[in-house]
Amino acid sequence: MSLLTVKHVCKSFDLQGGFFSSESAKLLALDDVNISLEEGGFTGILGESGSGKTTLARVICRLLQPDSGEVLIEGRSVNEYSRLELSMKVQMIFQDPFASLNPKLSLRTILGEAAPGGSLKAIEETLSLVGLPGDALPLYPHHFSGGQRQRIAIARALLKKPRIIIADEPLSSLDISIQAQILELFSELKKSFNISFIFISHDIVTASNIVDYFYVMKGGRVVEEGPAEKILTSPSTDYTKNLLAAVPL
Amino acid sequence: MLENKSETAMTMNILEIKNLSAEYYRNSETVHALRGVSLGVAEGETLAIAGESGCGKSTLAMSVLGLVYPPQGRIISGEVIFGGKNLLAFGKHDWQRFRGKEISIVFQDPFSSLNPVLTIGEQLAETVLAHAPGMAKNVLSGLVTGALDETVFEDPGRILSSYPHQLSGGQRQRIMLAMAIINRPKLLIADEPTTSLDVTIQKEIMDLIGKLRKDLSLTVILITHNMLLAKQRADRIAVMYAGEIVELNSTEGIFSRPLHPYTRALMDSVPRMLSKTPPKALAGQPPDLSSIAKGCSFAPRCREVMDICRSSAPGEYVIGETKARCFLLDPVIKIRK
Repeated sequence: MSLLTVKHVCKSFDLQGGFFSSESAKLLALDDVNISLEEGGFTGILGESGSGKTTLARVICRLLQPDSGEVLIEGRSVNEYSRLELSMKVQMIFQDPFASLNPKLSLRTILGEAAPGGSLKAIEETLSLVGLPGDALPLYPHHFSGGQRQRIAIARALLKKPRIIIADEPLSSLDISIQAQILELFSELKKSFNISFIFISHDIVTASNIVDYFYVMKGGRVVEEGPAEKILTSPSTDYTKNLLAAVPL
Repeated sequence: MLENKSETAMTMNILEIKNLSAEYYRNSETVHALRGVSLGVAEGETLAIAGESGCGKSTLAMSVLGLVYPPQGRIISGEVIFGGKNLLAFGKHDWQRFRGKEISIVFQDPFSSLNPVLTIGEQLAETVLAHAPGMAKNVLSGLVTGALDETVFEDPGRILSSYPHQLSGGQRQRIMLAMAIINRPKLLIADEPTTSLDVTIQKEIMDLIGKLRKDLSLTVILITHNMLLAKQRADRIAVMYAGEIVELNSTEGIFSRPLHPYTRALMDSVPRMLSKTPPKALAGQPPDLSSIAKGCSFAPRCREVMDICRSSAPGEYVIGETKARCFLLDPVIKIRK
């Protein structure tokens, strides 16, 4: 049994027409999407903006309800879990480190909300895991750089001891040199913890350094999938080939 | 990248920055953003300024455009000479005539650079009229459509009447480029022009900048944190760290023989295709420029640090056309070591 299974998920959004238009169109954000994540897996979802990857992440976390299809974690539908139970199964790290932390809360409070029983010991241990000093606890988000805020977001996710972490473009807002640091951190977490990852990205080369298996998405559909090495060396769709060709080497 | 080496050797520097120092004032602290930067930009070349966030690359661009002034900041010393003119002596009106006409800039986030309540056509026209008030409508219209044509828009009519929110990120960045070149500047500064865009759109925008450079005989300064982007698109690269240029060389030279440990570390931190492991990250972060420590600013993170690095700051070691700010290049120190 896979840890996570997404079966025939469809999701569309109502769009309001342009400024002077009265018609409303539908945007088919997810069109019969099927993916699975195995225990210990590090799976990548690759695609450009608008391909549906973030919508898929939100559906998995139950932040959005699909129009049809189902999402199963450990064999059970996500709708059967209580909110607390679900938060201990799957956690998400978002793209924009400047928007995902409450600016009015100190680091201590932000992590205290996530830690079981608000345990200071657990918080300090997790901080050290992500490479942040313990004396940073009284500080507020605006004191930290983008890379540091992503580390905080990762610490917050880790404190729940989830089975799955979904990282939605976690590196995109960071400098290349800091991307390398966060990528290293993910690599260490992959080795030391029993957490499976879904890594969403538009940068195939960076993702390939850490991902085992790729799903390539375009226009709400999965257009290609396979082990990372295969996707990189012999992609079958032009779309994937373009993604590969676009990265400066 | 350099098509005719001897031709380039004879061209004058269109921009000459000499020993430029600038600071910002933030929360009652003084941030020493630029510390003695010297750089010449040859006409027609593409020069990349590479470095992490906070190294001063954007401040350098702002200084060249006269956008560093009290109360937020100040240029403390140095010279900026463009086409023979001393830019630091410019008054407010000189700058208004100059900015967007002789030197243009495109920024990282096109959405916040475009006015949300004006159509694209209106904004392009505004850019022209700011420098040529009272231009005849038909001439203006021709320039505007011409700019959209040059930035490869297939349906200029529809674009002209659109609002920024109706366009994609890539389209908006192309509009920014159209606005930047419509007045035929001599120098285009692109400050992280592709950072907020998808990889495929990044390539599109960089290809467009290359095309515009050729078509309009532009000189381009490309500011980026991505060394590989610099490698692909620039003739020369200036690497900045903590407000200083730490290495300057031709792209070929920097990649075949990087002189400064920071340059080497930056290149190591780029992901490689088909590598099973993440690249070797450079630990730590750039120093806080509100308090300049003794010694070389890179010493705390340097894998090749020596004792002298912690007590003294290295000067620039010049070898022909290249220079690097590192004691490893000092012949005397090398012998003693």
